[in-house]
Amino acid sequence: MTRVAVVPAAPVLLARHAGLVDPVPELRAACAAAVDWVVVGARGPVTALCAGPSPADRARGVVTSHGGQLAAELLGEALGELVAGPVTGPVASLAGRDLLVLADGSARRGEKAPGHLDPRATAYDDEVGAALASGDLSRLRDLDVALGEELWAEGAPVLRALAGAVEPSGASEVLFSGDPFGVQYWVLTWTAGS
Amino acid sequence: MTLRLGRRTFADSATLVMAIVNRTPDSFYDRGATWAEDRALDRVAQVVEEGADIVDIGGVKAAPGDVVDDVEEQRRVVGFVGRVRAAHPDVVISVDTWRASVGHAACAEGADLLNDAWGGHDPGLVDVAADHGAGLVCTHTGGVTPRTRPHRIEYADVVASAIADTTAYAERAVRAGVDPAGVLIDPAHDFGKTTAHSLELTRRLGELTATGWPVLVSLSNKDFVGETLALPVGERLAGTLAATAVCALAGARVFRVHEVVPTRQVVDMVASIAGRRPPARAVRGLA
Repeated sequence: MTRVAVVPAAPVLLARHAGLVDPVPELRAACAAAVDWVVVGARGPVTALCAGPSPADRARGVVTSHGGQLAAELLGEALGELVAGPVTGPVASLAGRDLLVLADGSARRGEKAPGHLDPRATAYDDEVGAALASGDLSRLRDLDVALGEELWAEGAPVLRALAGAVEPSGASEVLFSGDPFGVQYWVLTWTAGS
Repeated sequence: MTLRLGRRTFADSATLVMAIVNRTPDSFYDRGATWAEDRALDRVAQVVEEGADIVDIGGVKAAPGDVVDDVEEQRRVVGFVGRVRAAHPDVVISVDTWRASVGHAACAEGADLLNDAWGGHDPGLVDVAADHGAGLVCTHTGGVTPRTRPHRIEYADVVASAIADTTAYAERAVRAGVDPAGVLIDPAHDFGKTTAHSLELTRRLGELTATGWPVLVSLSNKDFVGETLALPVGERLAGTLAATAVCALAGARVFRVHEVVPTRQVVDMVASIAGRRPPARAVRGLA
């Protein structure tokens, strides 16, 4: 059995952006708990899966995406391979690995959201969230990543890649689900077979 | 350098706001607003609530005026220090005095810091600070007599003079037994200085902070601000805050002020611009 955790690829979690007051204490605590659970039960180094830098970030000289930076901070020495997108389909090599997945939902969930309000965002995130919580990742194999891009759901391609590679052995434990800044975050864990 | 004042210890990166509390009927800015002792105690409560780390209690206006002798200064200040100590156990209490006798009596009532605005005029003040474990602000006045206005004072180099005099005074205090962690230096804008001198001190404040001694600046609503902007007392806040920002960027540690809230905001903003203080809460672009 391997252990898998999903946390948001939110730069607000990065240490270099810390303010005097933590704007996301509950989210941060949930991420720490999920990562601890994976690391404690991992059979070796933990693989991290996240989106790579956006083309615009890449053009500005960014080498490691915020998801990749966060994986390094959260896992520290436990980090093995970093698989950073673009990922276009199932990544078979992820099977049998202990995983930290950095992915989130739409950033267009309200008028104050980074991408303003898109009325389709809630239904999209509800569907993804339900699939993640149920552990039935097959429901994400045909996730509409083009719509995800319109909805600023940076995690959509990551989650679709995960769907073909990992089969949870049961429902997830959901440690956090919410959209404090108009971006959908999930923190959940599950075990996967073999 | 870590500052240790009274019961408080302040980290190297901490900037402190010192609020002026006058026990005078005639100081230039508040014109006796806190002459009544209860009004002064109200002001202390207000500035502590606003975030002042230090209150600086003074019983003699700086400019020439009615004679305030030793007895009268003690009557104005000493009992009041005791009341402030009782009401605010943790606030750092500074007393603005040049007289050793007043310093002694005030420290006995709980004062933590002696702000010698007249630069060592009374040689016994260092011994009082040492005896009571109090801190000391070592100011530069160019050697003028207390409560006199500058008249035709020249310096070959006002910054060099300020550094030489304040650091010599600080070293003398330490030799006398004052805790080095409680010693500050103050170039004393306007004291024994023209507006040009005070502007130059502000422009070159980094040379004072480079001495390693923590630097206190007292800029609030002073004449160098008024002359620079052609503004009377009461309209000098923006100019004061501009000078505050420049001194903060150069690394000044303590800001002696009338207005606590805007000063705290400016000093915090500058500290964050300088990369010495994180923002209070950062989410923009990071969700």
